[in-house]
Amino acid sequence: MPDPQDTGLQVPRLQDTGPDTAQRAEDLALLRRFEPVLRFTAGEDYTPQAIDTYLARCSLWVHLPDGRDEVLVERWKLTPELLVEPRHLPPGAVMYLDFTDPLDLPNLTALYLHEGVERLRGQVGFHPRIGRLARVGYVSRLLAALFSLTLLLRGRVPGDAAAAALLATRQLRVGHPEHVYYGRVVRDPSGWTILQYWYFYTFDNWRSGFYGANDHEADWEMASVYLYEEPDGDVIPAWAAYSCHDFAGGDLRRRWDDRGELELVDEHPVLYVGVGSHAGYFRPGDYLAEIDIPLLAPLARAIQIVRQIWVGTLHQAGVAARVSRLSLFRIPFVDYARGDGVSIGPGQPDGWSPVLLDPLPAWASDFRGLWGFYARDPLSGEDSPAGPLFDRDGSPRRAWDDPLGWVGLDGIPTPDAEPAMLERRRIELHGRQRQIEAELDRELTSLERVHTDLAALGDQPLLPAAHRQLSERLAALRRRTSALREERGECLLLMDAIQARQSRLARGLKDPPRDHITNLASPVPEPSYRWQRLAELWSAVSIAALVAGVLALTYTDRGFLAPHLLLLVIGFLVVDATLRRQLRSLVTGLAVTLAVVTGAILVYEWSWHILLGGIVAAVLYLAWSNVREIFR
Amino acid sequence: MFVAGLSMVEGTFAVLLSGAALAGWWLNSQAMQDANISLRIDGAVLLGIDGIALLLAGIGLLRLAPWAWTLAMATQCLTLTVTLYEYLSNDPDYLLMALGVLAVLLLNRQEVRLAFDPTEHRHA
Repeated sequence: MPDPQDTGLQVPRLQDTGPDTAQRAEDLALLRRFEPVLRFTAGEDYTPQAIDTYLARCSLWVHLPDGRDEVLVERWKLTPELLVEPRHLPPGAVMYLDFTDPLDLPNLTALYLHEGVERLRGQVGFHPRIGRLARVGYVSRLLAALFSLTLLLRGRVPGDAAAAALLATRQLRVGHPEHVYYGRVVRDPSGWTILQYWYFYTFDNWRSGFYGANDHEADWEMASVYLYEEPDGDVIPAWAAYSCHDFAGGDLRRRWDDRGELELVDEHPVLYVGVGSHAGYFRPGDYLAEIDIPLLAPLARAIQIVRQIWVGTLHQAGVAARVSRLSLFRIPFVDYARGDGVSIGPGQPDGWSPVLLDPLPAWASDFRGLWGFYARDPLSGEDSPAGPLFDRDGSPRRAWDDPLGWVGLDGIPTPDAEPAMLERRRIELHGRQRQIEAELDRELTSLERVHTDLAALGDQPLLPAAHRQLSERLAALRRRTSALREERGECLLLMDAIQARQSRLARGLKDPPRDHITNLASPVPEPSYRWQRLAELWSAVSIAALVAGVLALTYTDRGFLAPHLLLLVIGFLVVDATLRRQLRSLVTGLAVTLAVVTGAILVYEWSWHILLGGIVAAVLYLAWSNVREIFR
Repeated sequence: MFVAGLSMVEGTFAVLLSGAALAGWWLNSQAMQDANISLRIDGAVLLGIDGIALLLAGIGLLRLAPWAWTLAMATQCLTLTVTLYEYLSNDPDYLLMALGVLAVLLLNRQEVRLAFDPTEHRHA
């Protein structure tokens, strides 16, 4: 097996040729000025690295539509040039890289022994503290168990792939310890300058290492800084955004001056990396990353409607408030982004080796395949991602293709451009208002004329056709003048609002920094449990024990099965609620459920009486209102 | 105030109902021969305990004691369970059922919960 260090590949930096060298040097300086600090969680096995050595370690494959897989380039022979070599492949074929071979028994044993020894010596830094199942209720636990079972049916990364990837990555790291980001500078015509920092990890071991949702070979993550240029040429940072799972829109970005949300080391934003998943977070902590189940979406929507009635109309609280998060139909996974491990970036023990993506290398622009193993997972979670420019299906990746739209900044002017834009809009509206006034004058004159004619014709009963025509014209003119007045009112209101905003900006007042955020990602507070280890153990085994209990009762109990099943479920709920200090919530939930069931029975049994009572009450109310009006 | 009164009315009603049923069976030797009498007595005793708890909860609710809200909700659970059991046994008590539903809906109103647990809005 060739030594990965002998691939002869070096991390490319700035190539000093071509007419745009000065521009590229400026871009690189800009990237370096704002390059993020990445804080990892203790226990993280992977850090950003160069793609070249990774590529050399991979073989290139194609999955053909007929189900066969063919190797295109053997392991240790792949280069960036060979990766993008033109190939004639049938439609529907998927190209993918394969980073690791299955581990043989001696290697696997050696790795597990090494891990075991490190754990015994206390050098494995990660501990989940409170397990994810202990943080959620029974429904979510049941869904999580079902999700785990689906892994047996879905395509997934093989079990020993994580171990093989870890060994391979450690080998790659020997002689190539540098931490690499691939930088890109985009100058948008709207005035925004976007700095993108793309990070490549050889493996995502969120599922196998940290109880997460998925594993996959290769992982591309990204951090962005949004700048604008002042008239004196200085650049001002306005926003930072980090890629975080499949999220998009305003929730991804934080304002540069929002100290509660965005941590800075000098001019460098701090990114807390989710262990295993490598998702980016702004604050350290454990995040509940819930996965929606598309099949249950209609049920969740129905519950949302019930909730609106429950909270809005009936002014109820408690159970409904919890349902409002709709977490009932989501599978919970914890993303640990604690920042207590390795730290990379300016002023940190490890620094960056930047690579400028200008000119755009062919491996980025031309390879639309997957950057790691193709697991054939219908949910795609276990399939490797494509490169920075593409999604898994080969379509353009929004973060690259539309960096402003990706974070919901499209159409939003830079702060320095906003006053001029507001003034332009105000002048435009003022012009329109004057136009409306003139039109309104003309229309009113016409209206007067038609009205006069119509009044005169009123004395002439022999001209009905002319009378009808004039009446129609009068009605049309009235509609038109009414519409113009309405538009004039809107114009005036908008102009007032623009002037108020101009005045705010002139006084240096800013909008609240989090107005654009719909769902603010916040670390979940550490729950307080009674007998924590027991609570975790209980949460881990309770679903299996409950299912076993139900089966045992069904098999043995012939007399009072239903009440005994009910007692069993209530018993489990009470134990769980006691351990999680949620007895009060449980009592409320039970009472509300019983009340809803009882209410439904009452409505069913007494529907005619209720209807009759309602009618009688309405009639009495009407009579009382009318009588009161008479005597007022 | 209203929910406290309701709880006390409900409690009194449950105690009277339970007392009347127990006394009736005690005096009627034929009823005591019924095969399901032990279950019925259990139910009546449970309803009596529930009624006393409802009376206690009503007094606590009047005094705005935080424990009273939890006790009231727990006793409503018991009341509704007993009435549902009675309904399924073809011996429904619709008045107690309606009172139980009304009491739960009142106790679960946001302003009522807030009155008994000022930290409630933080949980919601």
